[in-house]
Amino acid sequence: MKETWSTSTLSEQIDLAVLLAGLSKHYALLEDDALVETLCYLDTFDWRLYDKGLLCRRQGRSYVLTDFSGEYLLQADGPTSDQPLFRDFEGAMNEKLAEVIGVRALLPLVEIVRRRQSFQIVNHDQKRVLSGLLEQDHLMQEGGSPIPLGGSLRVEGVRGYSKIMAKVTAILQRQGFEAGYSAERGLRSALAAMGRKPLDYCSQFSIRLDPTETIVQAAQKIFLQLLAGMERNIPGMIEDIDSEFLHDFRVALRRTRSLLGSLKKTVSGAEVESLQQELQKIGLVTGPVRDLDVYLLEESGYHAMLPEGLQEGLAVFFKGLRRQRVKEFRRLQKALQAKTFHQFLLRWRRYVEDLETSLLPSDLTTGHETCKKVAVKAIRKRLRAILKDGALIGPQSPDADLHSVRIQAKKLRYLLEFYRSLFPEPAMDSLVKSLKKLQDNLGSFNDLSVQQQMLARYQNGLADGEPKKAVLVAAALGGLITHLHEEQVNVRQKFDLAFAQFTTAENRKLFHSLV
Amino acid sequence: MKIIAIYSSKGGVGKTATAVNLAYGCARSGRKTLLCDMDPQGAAGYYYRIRPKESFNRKQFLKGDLEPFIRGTDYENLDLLPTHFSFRHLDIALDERGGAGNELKRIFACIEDEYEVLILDCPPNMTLLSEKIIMAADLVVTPVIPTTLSILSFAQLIKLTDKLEVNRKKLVAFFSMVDRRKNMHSDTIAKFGKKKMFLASEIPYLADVEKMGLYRQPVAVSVPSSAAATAYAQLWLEVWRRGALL
Ligand SMILES: Nc1ncnc2c1ncn2[C@@H]1O[C@H](COP(=O)(O)OP(=O)(O)OP(=O)(O)O)[C@@H](O)[C@H]1O
Ligand SMILES: [Mg+2]
Repeated sequence: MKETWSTSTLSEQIDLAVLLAGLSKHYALLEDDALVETLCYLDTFDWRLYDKGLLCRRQGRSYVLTDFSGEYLLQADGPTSDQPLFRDFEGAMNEKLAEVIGVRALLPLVEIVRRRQSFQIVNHDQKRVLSGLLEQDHLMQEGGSPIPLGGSLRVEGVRGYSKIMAKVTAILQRQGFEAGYSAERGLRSALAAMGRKPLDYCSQFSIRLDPTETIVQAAQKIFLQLLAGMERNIPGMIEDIDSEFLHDFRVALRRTRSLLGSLKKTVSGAEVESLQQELQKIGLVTGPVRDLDVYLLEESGYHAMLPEGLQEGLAVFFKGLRRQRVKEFRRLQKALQAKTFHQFLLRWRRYVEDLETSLLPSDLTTGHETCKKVAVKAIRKRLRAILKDGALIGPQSPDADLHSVRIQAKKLRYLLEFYRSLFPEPAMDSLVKSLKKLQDNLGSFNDLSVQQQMLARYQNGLADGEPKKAVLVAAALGGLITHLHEEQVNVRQKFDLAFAQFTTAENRKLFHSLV
Repeated sequence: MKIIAIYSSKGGVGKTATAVNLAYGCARSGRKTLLCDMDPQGAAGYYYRIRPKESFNRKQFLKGDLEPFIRGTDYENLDLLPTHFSFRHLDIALDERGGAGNELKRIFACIEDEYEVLILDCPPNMTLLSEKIIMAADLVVTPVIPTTLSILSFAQLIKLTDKLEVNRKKLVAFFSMVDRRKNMHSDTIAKFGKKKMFLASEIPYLADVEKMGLYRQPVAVSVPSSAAATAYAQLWLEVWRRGALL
């Protein structure tokens, strides 16, 4: 019902009286006192809000969620802590954030000083017939003077007084203000002033390769991008901001190892061997904390699996896990801050940068094959293996067989991600999609068996503890193991279906067309 | 949409002062409110500094074409439908149309979805229009100056509601322009104040209410912490509670 009109302003100083000088004498401009406020935009490290078309800003304890146009979606009080998680909020904000940012923390992106000047236009009865708001933003930077960022001018009509609204917007348009204001543009210009831009980190791997590049050139590009990804996550891991830093780091590490492994025939030498070992060591060092995170993130899910009577034991169990995580994290932190770790990263970078020149004469022919050719070969090989091994799985097959199909599928997935850009997009998309479904099944099966083993190990170790508590915990863990086992049987039964869906005639045709 | 009519057949008893301040209180409580000025003198519009659009008159009103003529006040959640000079013959026009029953309800139907509460500032008389208002309203709020004559005209109103076969419970009265120093006022309140139809809240005779014509704002805006503002806030709460009980 209310008419509004808004525009972005770029100039630094706007004088409303001058701007609206064209109004007739029947109207008067009343300016309120200007307010100056500091606000801070936040998003997760991987831009989960922005990615969903959302912006979050904080002013003191007040958090506001808007869409890109600046329209309020939610407002709630929250913590003043620098890196809040969804569970630091209540009510609708808690739910919305849980849905969008998941386990990630909100990090401050930019701090802006905003001057807000509200004003109104009144008629000869001193009746308000239009109201407006002029905002001017400045970027605060440490040590330096504030950088002007532009701002916005918004006017809002009053019901039944549309003439003046039309007059004012006409005046503004005549002076070159274009309709349309976007809060997203404001954020973008603030980020640009700091040399950043939205979506400058994404945990999903994506790279453009040229089919005529040699495999070594392609591998070098991929390695460097993975390394950059690892390095960007290290500060967040050391600070322990949220569990995803470590997770993303480990995924990049696994991808690196997988690619290096697949190049065995292309680049050889003792150096590769030793690098592989070092990369594996990093995997081992970062493993325990991640393993614990997986349980801790699922805590409420575990609680939901058990009846009231077993909750107490489970709570004790989780308390233990948390204590253990503190210990393990300290170890990890030390390892990440150690000189040797950074020296290794440097060594790895040098190796990758020199990859082409360090080819041995015997590697030259294979190293100079085009990446497309190598990709086709590698993908074909993995696909064949999965199709063959998967078809052999029957109800009696040992778990180890499923495990091996899972590893194959994972390796295939990495290959598809690395070489995605070399193939037609729609075909690749649908292949990745159906592979993902198969992997979900295999992954759940594996997770469930790892969890049962871990719980059983923990159960066995309980004998050393306080006997009364040990009984409680053992009962809870027993309950969990039973539940997980049932679920695993369930998942196992669904493998046939998942595999059949992966190997439909249609998909097979697709595989052939690709490789 | 709840319709609250501020009505009395007597003039100058504080209807408009009540309508203006209750509408503000209602909007402040977060309810989307429309104050409809039914009195061609246009006092309610005057207090909110709103004049009718030139194209508005009785015809549009009778057609139920209200939306284009509603205007926003300076306050959140509160709009006003101004009156028009031609409203002075509204009852004749209603009579000519001969519609039985809820003619007004039909007219206000078009704004039903937009407003939670409709407050009517009524002209001082007892005509066909008054009858339609009494029938259409969910609550009829009557300011009564504590004098014998005012009580008499209130008794008349009760009789009218009975004649119209309207539930007596939607009739509520309160003492208006009370001056406790006057014996007549205290005596009348003592005698009738206990009756169920009378609200406990009363509006004293206060200079701040008189000065509304000067400030052209509800008292809660012009003199926020005054006795007048408090009295109207309290009156609103009690009126709303009564309405909720129905
Ligand atoms: N509580 C009060 N104290 C002092 N003055 C008041 C009070 N209530 C109303 N008045 C004043 O008395 C006069 C009549 O009040 P108001 O216009 O509200 O009555 P009304 O019933 O609407 O009159 P009308 O019948 O003419 O429409 C106005 O000047 C008003 O300012
Ligand atoms: Mg009046």
